[in-house]
Amino acid sequence: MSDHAIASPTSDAAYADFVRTVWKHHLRVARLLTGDPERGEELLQECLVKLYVRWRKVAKQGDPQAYLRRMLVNGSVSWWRSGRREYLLAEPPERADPVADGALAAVHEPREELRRALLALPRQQRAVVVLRHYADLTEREVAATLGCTIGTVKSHHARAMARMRELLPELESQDSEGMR
Amino acid sequence: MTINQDDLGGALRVLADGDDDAPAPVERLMRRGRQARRRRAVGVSAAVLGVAAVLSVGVIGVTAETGNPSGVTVQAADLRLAAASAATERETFGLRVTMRSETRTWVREGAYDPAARAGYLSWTDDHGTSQEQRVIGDDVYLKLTIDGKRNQWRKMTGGAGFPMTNLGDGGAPAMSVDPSEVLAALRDNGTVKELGGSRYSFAFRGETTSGRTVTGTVEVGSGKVGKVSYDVGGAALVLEFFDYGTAVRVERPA
Repeated sequence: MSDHAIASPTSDAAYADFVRTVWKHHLRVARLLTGDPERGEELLQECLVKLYVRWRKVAKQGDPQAYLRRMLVNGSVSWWRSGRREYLLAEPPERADPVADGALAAVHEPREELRRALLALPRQQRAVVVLRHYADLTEREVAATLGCTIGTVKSHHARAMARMRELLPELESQDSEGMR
Repeated sequence: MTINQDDLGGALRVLADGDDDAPAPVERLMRRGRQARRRRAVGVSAAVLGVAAVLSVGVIGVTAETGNPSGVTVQAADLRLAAASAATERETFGLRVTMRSETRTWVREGAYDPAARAGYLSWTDDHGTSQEQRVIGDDVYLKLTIDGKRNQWRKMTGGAGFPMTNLGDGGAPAMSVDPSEVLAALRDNGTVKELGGSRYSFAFRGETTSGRTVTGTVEVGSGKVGKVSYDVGGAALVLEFFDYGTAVRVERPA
């Protein structure tokens, strides 16, 4: 039976269990990768729909979480390149980019500082930060997710942290005093 | 806020955790997944897609409202609306999408071909810049101002239908409107009641982040759908169908 065949009840049940189990964690990863709660959820939903199509194959390979994580990171590229600023120009002003207009910053300033700093990173660096510090992946796992070498992961991480220290003075002072 | 590198994970958790969680929309994901499978299986045959009326768009999905009354009158209304929706799906038409929030109204106008699942909407934004969206199958293109250069086309992935804005309360999801999905939903799902004068009310359970029920009205004229009005997140969304049979030519941007 081809991969396109209608899923069996057993396969559907396994997929449903998987989604319920991983939803919360990957929703947060997607939010951090996209910088927007709603678009993060959209991205996750799109990835999970694609995962359903390939579910048997992916489940057979044994690590659907890793597969989903790769889809999220790759999918965030599309959001980043084609959607972030430009897409929002087509939206009404009151729902303009909260990062750009500072609307949310006035309400949730501390969180917004971090959100802004995260959004200021190139997407590969951001993905490294999210996967290392939020998802608690090892450098090897991050490298596998991004499809790059461990050395590249280290390089992205170092640059990301340097950039974030520039944007978050508190991070710099704490880090310089407490980490070194 | 003070953060050191060790604390960064915790700070990111606070950032990501700060928003309300919605439960996993498992059924909707599986339904969209099945539709995607079918699409892959049958290729892009417009005829087959037209019959299958594949639904897959944005965040607003529909499932049958439970407790649908089974009385003769309601059933007849269901059938009439289903027939009108099916007839509309077989035609090309002009399309006007109007969104009304508490403070503003936006109008986008264009045309749509359900058989080809292709169409466009255009409007002028507050800065006087012409904007356009094109939908060709599962591909969505937006004409935007990028790096100060106007009228640059960008392809969006991960969506279908015309991207709309987030409406109403802050918890409302980003939303896309796919006329094909709307018509299929009217044809297949939900509770329908006749209001008189070729008007019907409908109720769908939308699988938005809040799982709210989407209610609205639909007006039928000449056996086809003329106007669909519903509420999403406290804002009104109106789809108007007109100029049936109009030529719809949508070119894929280079």
